[in-house]
This record gives sequence, structure tokens and C-alpha cells, in this order.
Amino acid sequence: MSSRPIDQKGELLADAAAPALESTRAQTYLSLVWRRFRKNRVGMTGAVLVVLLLLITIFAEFLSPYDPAKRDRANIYTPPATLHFQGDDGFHLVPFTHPVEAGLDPATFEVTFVENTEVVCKPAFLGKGWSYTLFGIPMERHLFAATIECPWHLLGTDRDGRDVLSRLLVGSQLTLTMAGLVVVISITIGTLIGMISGYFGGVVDHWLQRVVEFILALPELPFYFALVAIIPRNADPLHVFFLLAGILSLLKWAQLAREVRGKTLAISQLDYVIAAEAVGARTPRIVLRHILPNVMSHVVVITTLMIPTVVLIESFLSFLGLGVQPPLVSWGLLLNAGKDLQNLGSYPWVLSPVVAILITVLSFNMLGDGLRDAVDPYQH
Amino acid sequence: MSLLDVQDLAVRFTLDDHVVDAVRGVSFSVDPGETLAIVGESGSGKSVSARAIMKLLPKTATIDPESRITFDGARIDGFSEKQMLQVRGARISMIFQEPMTSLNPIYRVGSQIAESLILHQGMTKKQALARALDLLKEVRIPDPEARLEQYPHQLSGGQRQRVMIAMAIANEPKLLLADEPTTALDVTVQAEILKLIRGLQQSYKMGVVLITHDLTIVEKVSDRVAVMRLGEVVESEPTAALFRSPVHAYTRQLLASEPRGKPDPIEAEETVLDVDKLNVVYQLRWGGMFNRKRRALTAVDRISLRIEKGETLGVVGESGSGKSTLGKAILRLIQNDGGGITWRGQALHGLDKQAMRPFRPKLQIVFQDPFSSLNPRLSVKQIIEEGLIVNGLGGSGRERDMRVRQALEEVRLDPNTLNRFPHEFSGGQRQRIAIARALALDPEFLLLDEPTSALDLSVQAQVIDLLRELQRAHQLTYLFISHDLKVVRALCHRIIVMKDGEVVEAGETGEVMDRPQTDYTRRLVRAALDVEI
Repeated sequence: MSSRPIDQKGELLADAAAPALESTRAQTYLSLVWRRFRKNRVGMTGAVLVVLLLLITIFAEFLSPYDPAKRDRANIYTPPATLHFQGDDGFHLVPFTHPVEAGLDPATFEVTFVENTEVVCKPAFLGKGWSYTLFGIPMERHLFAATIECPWHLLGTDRDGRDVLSRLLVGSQLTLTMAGLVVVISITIGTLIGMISGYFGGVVDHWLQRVVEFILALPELPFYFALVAIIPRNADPLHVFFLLAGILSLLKWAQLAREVRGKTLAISQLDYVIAAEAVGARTPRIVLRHILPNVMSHVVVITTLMIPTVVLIESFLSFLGLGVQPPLVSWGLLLNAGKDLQNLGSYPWVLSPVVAILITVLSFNMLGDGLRDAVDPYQH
Repeated sequence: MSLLDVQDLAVRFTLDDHVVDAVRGVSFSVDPGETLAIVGESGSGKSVSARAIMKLLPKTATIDPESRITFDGARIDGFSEKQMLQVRGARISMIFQEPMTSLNPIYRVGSQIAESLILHQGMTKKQALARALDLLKEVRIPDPEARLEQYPHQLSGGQRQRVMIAMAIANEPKLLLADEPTTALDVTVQAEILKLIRGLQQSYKMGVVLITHDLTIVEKVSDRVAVMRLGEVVESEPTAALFRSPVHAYTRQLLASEPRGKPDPIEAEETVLDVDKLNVVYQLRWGGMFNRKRRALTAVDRISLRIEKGETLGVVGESGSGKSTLGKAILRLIQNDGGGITWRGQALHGLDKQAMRPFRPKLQIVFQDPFSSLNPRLSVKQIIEEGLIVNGLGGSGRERDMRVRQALEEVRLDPNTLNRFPHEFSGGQRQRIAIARALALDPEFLLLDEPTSALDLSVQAQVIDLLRELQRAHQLTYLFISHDLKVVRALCHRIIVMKDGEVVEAGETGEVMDRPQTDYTRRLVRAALDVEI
């Protein structure tokens, strides 16, 4: 913290001459926002988590020890294995596990799991595993590649013996792509319609707002069910994915359009917009140069707050079996495996996607709240 | 012994990444029945000092422990929040600048006044309302019985300020802090409010601290003056002595910055703008789908005027008289409903947006509020060169750059500031940027919509000088809209006086000001040029 001395020349003189500021570099809008955002601890935590999440999503296959689609009859419903660093022979940089072996309690016939400490399962660091493509480049290396003979399931396996951790990592791609896609489409439509509605006013505004009201009045959940039902059952899973994204976008832009319209209405009353008109600027220029940058701050905040809602809707629809179809993997679809009560009791680790969704929603919300406080740096 | 004694008051604000010493070592005192005026420009710390007495500062502010505030024989700077509740509103009251926001819109006027009586004097609701009626009579609101039952939005600005004063004196305080009590009001109302405060002060033997930037008020109302600058008191004298022989350089400068001078005489006689029976009607619509009501509000009523080349025509009137609407209608920035506008023989009326475009560079505008007239997201260069780009003027990027620099030099700003953003400039500097934006297009006509009323007095004088110089250098024609007759007198050749959308008087500036023909004009002139208390 530094004490900034008040300009000793005083206002009377300083006003006549140029401001004698210490730095010649101008403070741009972004640097002002960043200066305020940095102060917000919750927002910064959110930002760090979001960046981590995006990195994990991009490099999901590299981080997955197993092929998420590979079934393994021998290891059905294996519980999560504990990571060990300290072995009999001292410290290991690459953590190892002991295979878990299922037994039967002779009295209760309950399945019990016992760690077989005699066998040490050590994955290959940066070893070769299942093949995937990263940015179009075919690759085989993984951070930890599990060996075939010795299991290394950190979050256990599901009912087909597939590795839950790998499925969770790869599933994040589809869930976040869906969220990104829906948000980009609906933000574009919403901002455009909102600005047109707010700037032109009159009849255009009147009818656009009636359309917005119609969409806002649709009962969301039954409507999703009805729309999803239209998608043919035997359609290609990838088509289903894009159709679902389209449907969600069509229903999500309306709220944003309404908010952007309000902002635009307020801004178009300001003197600088009238001044632009007075120098002879055309309508597209006024909208793109004077109104858009000033509503963008609001739009960015809405974007970060909208992503978690889309993640939740996608998981919800997929959980019910209406959304993403196998063999694609998404968090909602993974949760589908945990819908039966018996599974919950016996194999709680299949619920791990819940934690992933929770972290995602929280971190985007934290980031959005932080941004909301920071985007208006001119007000004190 | 003095009623209020402030010694070495220091207030420090802790902001995001730096601290600001808003007030440093300020000392002043007020005797019972005396009026102390604290004068200074915006940011000089005058309001902060007053709020520090009341402990009404924001959380980011800290009062230096060395400060001593003695009120009525007791040190109040160490008072807890609970003890202050006994002082605030009961023994020290405060009136604020903005009567719109300082009254709660959802409560009736009567119960708002009664609230503090019930709180501080333990009256019953009935007693309090009776006392509230007496108070409203005392502040001379017309029809006080009806006002008790009304909501703040049903009152005018002046009436609201009277209600605020009634609330302030409800508990017969010993000290009244008035923070720019008349700044938001029309000039004609201003004098009456000041007279009211003065009268109440005498009957209640109150000490009054009057915070203001208006030197005319200070001279007429106060017994002593403290001049503040950059958080310090630079001079503190009895009023008469200060106005007769100011000691400090800043005080002298402040006194010299009252708008003065006369416009240059016009040389060529050539009508450039001719407005004939211009009409602007707003359609007001309210009610729901089934009981929709409409009313036409005539904001500009068949106004005709003509302006010669190089002339400044002043448009004066109270707020709501249609001055700004007239200006914007002439520039075709809002819809006109009849009448003709002729610019150098070419008709502007009836042209659509596209057809108006060739005329835009010639007819420019400067707004009142320099904070909303510059897009915060564009740099100074982008703001000024916009008109050149959209009109295809200035040719290459380098030539445009030259013209932007030239425009900045003309308004006396450093041309090297062109990559900065508006928020880095003070109000006066921002207004210069706005003028540069207009000048860059090489206009012939400037619509000046209250360009000085958001500015401090000394800055105001500089902007007026600048406008006069530019007029001389470029043979500019001005339409100058203002409510401040002092500024108008210093700048305008002729004036028209507007009331409710109509012209009530027109003529040479000196003529109208010296021999006003209508009551309305007389009231305007008297209120602005000689506040009589």
C-alpha cells in the first residue's frame, strides 16, 4: 500500500495543464477489472479451480490410466484402491496400489474386500496405454499407464469393470462441451436480440419481447421431456448430443435477451450514444462500438453463471436416460449407474461424478460472483 | 465558549491499493447563532469534514485519533455509535444536497417527520403528527395539512427540501449542518430556502455550518468563512473581511473565477440558423391494457429563433422549461412535430437519419455531464477521431492523428494524453475532451447544453474563456443553454427566456437582464445575480 500524495499543484492549475501522472501507460479497462478481481479471494479461488478444471478436461485422456470403454469381467465393482508411497523398500515417487480381492463372508454371505499386500501394482509413469488423439495427434502415452496384469483403479470400477476415474475424466469433456456449446449459442442469440430490442425500441421491441415472454413462460422440465422424446430412439448418439445442445440453447437465450435489453435501454439514453449520433455515426457502429462493449461485462458474468446450470440440466436429463446416450460418456450418464438403491449401499464409489459436478458448479459460481463485483471498475 | 470546536481533524480513506488523506489538520469553530460557511471545490474535503462530525463516514474512512471535536462542552469524537444516536438528529442535524434521495419514497411525509420525534422525544404518534404539522407550517410549505398525508414524489424539489429542513429542526438542534442544501434546486427556489434557514436560525439560536461552492451565497448568508482546498483550511476569516481583502492566493483565485467579461461584438451579419415555429410533443402513455390513457405534453411550443454567424444565443429557464429539448430538436436528435429548421438556406426539417448525415460535422453538440458523455471503454483518441472516421474526413491514419492532436491542443490538453481513458481525467478535463470531439470536425455551429453546470467554479471560468476564444478563432456560432444567468451574461449576445416550452421574453442580453419585462424573468435574474436574504 502506498500513500498517493494529492497533486500539489492543485486542481486549479492541474486542470489547465495535462495531468501529471506518474505512469505514462494507460490503465485499460481490463487492467482495472483485474486489479479489483485480484482482491476477491473467493473469486480468485473460483478462477484457479476453473482453469484447473479446463486443463483436466483438455488432457483428460492423457490423465486416464484406463480406456474408459474397456470392460473387464474379472474386476466388477472393485472398490477404490488406496495409494501407497511408502513400501517395504522405501519411498516410491510413483504411487503403487495393492490389488483388492473379493471374498465372501461365510456367515452373512456378504462380499468383503481384502487388500492383497503381497502383490505390488505399479503403473508405468508416462507409459504406453490405450491410444487416443490429442489436438488431432494420435498418442499412446499416459501420465500413469496401468499394467494389464495388475489393476490400479483409484476410484474403483463399475458394474462392467470399467475404471470409474477414467470414465469420470473423459466424461468431463462431453459435459463441459455441452455446457460451452449451449452457452455460446444462447449468449450469441440473447445478446443480439437483446441489443436490437433495446436500441430500436418501438414495434421491434414490442414483438421481440412478446417472443421472449413466450419462451420464458414455457414450463421447462416437461418441455425438455417432450422435446427429447421427439429425437428418434435409434439416432446416432452424436446427433442426439447436438440436438440436445440445440434444444437447451433455444430455451436458454430468452432470459439473457431480457437482461441485455434492459442494459441497452439504459446505455442508449446516455450522452455518449447521442454524441455518436451527433457526429454522424451509423447504427451498426453505435451498436457495435458504443453499446456492445458496455453490455459485454454483464454478458461475461452471465456466461460464467450459466455454465453450471447447463451442467446440472445435462446431468439431470442424462441421469434419467433422456440426454446423452451410450457409448458416449458424460457425468449425468455415469450417475445413471447409481440410480438403483442397492448399488448405493454396496458400491458408493459409483457416485463419484456427484463430487465432480459439485466442484464444477461451485467453482464457476465463485468465478461468476467475483467477476460481477469486478466488471464495473468506474463505480466506487 | 463556542458551540462546536473542531481541532486538527484528519480523515483518511483506505482504498483498494492506496490511501487518501481526504482531510488534514482542519480546525474551525462555530458559536451559537452563528453561520460558518465552508467553501471549496469538489474533492476539497468539505463534506467529509461535516460527516466526520456526525460520524457518518463510510467504512473505508478512519478519523485520526489526534482529532478533537468538542460539541456543547463535551468531546464527541470518542463517542460510541450508541452515544452518537443521542446526538444525531437531536442535538446536531444535517440537511443533504439531494432532496430526491434523502426522503424515503414509501412513507408519507407526516410519518417521516414524526418518526424522529417519537424516537428522540418519546411522543405518541398523535402528538408527533401534530408537531409535524406545526413544523411544516414553520417551514412555510403551502397547504401543510394536505402535505402530511402526501408521499415525497408528490412534492416539488423545493418543497422536499423544506420537508428535510422541518425534519432537521424537529428536535430543536443546537447545530445544523447544511451540505450544499440548494445546489440541486432551481435558482428561484434557492433564495427562498436560504431565507428560511436564516429565519429558523434566528428563532432557534442555532449554529449553522453551511457547506457550499457558491460564493454569492457565502457572501450573503454567512458570518465567517473557512476556505478549504485539498483537505486543508487555507483561510478562515469573517465574511466581510475575506471578500474585501483575501489573503491566500487560492482564495483570491476563487474570488476572481466568478464568470465575468462580455462576448466579443459580432462582425458579419449573416443568418446561419433559422428556426420557424418548432414544435416537439411527447406522447405520455400510462395505465394497463384496458384503461390506457394518453396525454400529449408539448415540450417545445412553436418556437422561432434565428442565429447570426459568430453569435451566441442563450436559452435560459428553470429546469423542465424545455431548453434541452429545443436544442436536441434543432439538431434533429429527437423527433420533431412540425415547424421548420433552415441551416444556411437548406431545410433540415423532414430529413431522415441518412439525409441528416452530411450536416452532422457542421452542427456539433457538447453535453452537460462530462461523465456520461464520454464512452468509458474508448480512449481519448478513439473518442475524438470517431467523427472523422464515420464522415470519411481526415484521410489517412496519420492525418487523423494530427487532427486529434490539434484538437487537443486547442482545448489546452496535452496531446500526449490521447491514449488515456476518460476515467483518468477530472470533470473539467473531460469537458475539454468533449469540446475537442466537436472541434475535430471543424464545425460551424455548436450546441452547448449546460456545458459548465457540472463543473467547479474555477474550472467553469476556464471553460467559458476557452469557449470565447474558440468562437473568435473559428467564427463559431453557439446556441448556449443554461440556467446560470451569470454564465449567460458572460457569454451570450442575445438570450431567449423559456417557460413551459414557450418563449416568454427575448432580446439583447444586457437589455433583458437589466430591464426584464415579465415576472418570471425578473425572478430568474434576481435569484441569480443578487441573492437577497
